[in-house]
Amino acid sequence: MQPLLGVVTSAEETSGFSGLDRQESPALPAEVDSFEVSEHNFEEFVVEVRRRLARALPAAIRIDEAPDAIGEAVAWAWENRDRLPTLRNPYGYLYRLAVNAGRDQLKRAGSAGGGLPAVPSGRIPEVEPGLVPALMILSPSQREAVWLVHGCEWSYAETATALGISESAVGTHLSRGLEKLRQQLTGGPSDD
Amino acid sequence: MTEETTEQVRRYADYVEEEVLRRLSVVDESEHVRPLHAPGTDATASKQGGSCRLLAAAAAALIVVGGGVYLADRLSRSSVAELTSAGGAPVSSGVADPSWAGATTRPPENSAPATSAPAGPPVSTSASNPETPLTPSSGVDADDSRRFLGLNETEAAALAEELGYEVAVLERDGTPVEPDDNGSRTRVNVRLVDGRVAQAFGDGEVVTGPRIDWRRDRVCVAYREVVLGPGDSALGPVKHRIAESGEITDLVTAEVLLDLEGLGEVTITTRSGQSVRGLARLSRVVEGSRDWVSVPSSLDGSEWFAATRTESGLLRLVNPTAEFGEWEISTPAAGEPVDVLAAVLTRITDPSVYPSCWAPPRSPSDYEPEPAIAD
Repeated sequence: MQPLLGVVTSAEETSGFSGLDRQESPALPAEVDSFEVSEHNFEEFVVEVRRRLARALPAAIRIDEAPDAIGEAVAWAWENRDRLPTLRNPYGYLYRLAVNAGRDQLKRAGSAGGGLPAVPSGRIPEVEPGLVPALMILSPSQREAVWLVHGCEWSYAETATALGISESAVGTHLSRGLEKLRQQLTGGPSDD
Repeated sequence: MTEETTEQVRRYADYVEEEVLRRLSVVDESEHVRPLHAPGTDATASKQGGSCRLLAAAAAALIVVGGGVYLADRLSRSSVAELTSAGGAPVSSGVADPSWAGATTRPPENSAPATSAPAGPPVSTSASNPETPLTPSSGVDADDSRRFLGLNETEAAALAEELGYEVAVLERDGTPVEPDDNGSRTRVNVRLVDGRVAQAFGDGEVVTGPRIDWRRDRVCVAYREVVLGPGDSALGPVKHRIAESGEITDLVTAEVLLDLEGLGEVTITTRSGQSVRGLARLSRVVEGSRDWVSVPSSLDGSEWFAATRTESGLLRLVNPTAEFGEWEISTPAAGEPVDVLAAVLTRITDPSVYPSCWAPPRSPSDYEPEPAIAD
């Protein structure tokens, strides 16, 4: 899939979200696709954002909160569309915004954090029934890392931006998460 | 085993994505807006003579950009100014999405435009269960009872005297009050919030106006949903939106929505009895949240309860949350039709997609990401 803007390149290291806090947007690295988001192509961008976040968010927030959280992210994107091209990983950033919005919603509602939805019986026969419980046993960071990298096929860089951690930390969470997941699915002991 | 595990995760993610997108599509069906503008033409040049400007602190839930995108959004003041100042082609009359037609009662094409009260009785739903219809019943005239909304106690008593009723205060800020039942005239029961009438109804009357639910400090505002198209004259079902607010200064808010082209003259009567031509429906999403703190409105304006018209001819709609200030919408000169700038028409097809209580308004800083999550 070709991101519409802000492609993270090998020349870049994600560096959190400081760019948004600046009054002046940081200069774009030469390698970054300078796709301009405007009223005319925003639709295209939104479609991609929605699709990506719809897949990614449920590992972090309740599925019921996802539509609103996506709406918040899209709203932010529209209001800050002139700044989007300056983001190294807009999808990761919007993911983070959406997660915050979703968690905020849960706090206000006085609800506990949610979980991944159970798979209706027979809907995905190739998925073991124990997968969802196993995913929920992972720590939040492990679960998000596994989900984003393997469930959503995000790069380490995108995942790092989304989680606000370094790529190496993504690797750590990922390997531990996968190990724990395997242990859960095979019934073996977890070493984590 | 690793590949098998990750493949399961991927397949499960396929399912989850499908689920979320399905829910999103339901939301999409429930919220629509017509374009504020189409690029390239002047916003007012081809209008029917009237002009409405939107000077809003925040704008619509859905804004159409780029020639037809329905975008869940709230716009900042600057964004609205940008859109409205950019000009645009006249928005075609009628509903933008043909699917709305099913939710309206549309008279024949050559019928007179809607200028009077809607056909059929209003339908209300309970606050606790928005989808449960309540049976309309008699009591104090509903139009009369709505006139009490927003009044302080003294004003309410004066109005009751004028109308031949007496006021019975049932609650003050959620605390029950033993009503004085000694009067001989028909009672208008009121619930006061911050000294003002938040709810008014006759004995046995189903309340179709705004309701206050003080459980958990929620404010539940019922409004009559209006789905409009050219010549439409029917009201849609009443929906409830629930919002939280700790700073209720008035039960009025507004999203801006002037949906009049092709509809003929529509009048909304304000609480004070003043009329403002041309407003068909007002509601809003509070900027920075998904809250709806909506204004009741109807084609005949009878439910518009707390707008005030300024000396300059502006309709001032006071926002219930001080955070977002006031809205001002200019109104056309008398007799002139009004442009269509935008219209938010809400048709909730699946209320389960909405949380039972929506978050209060938030400031932009709330959207800044949190620090990195520590494992």
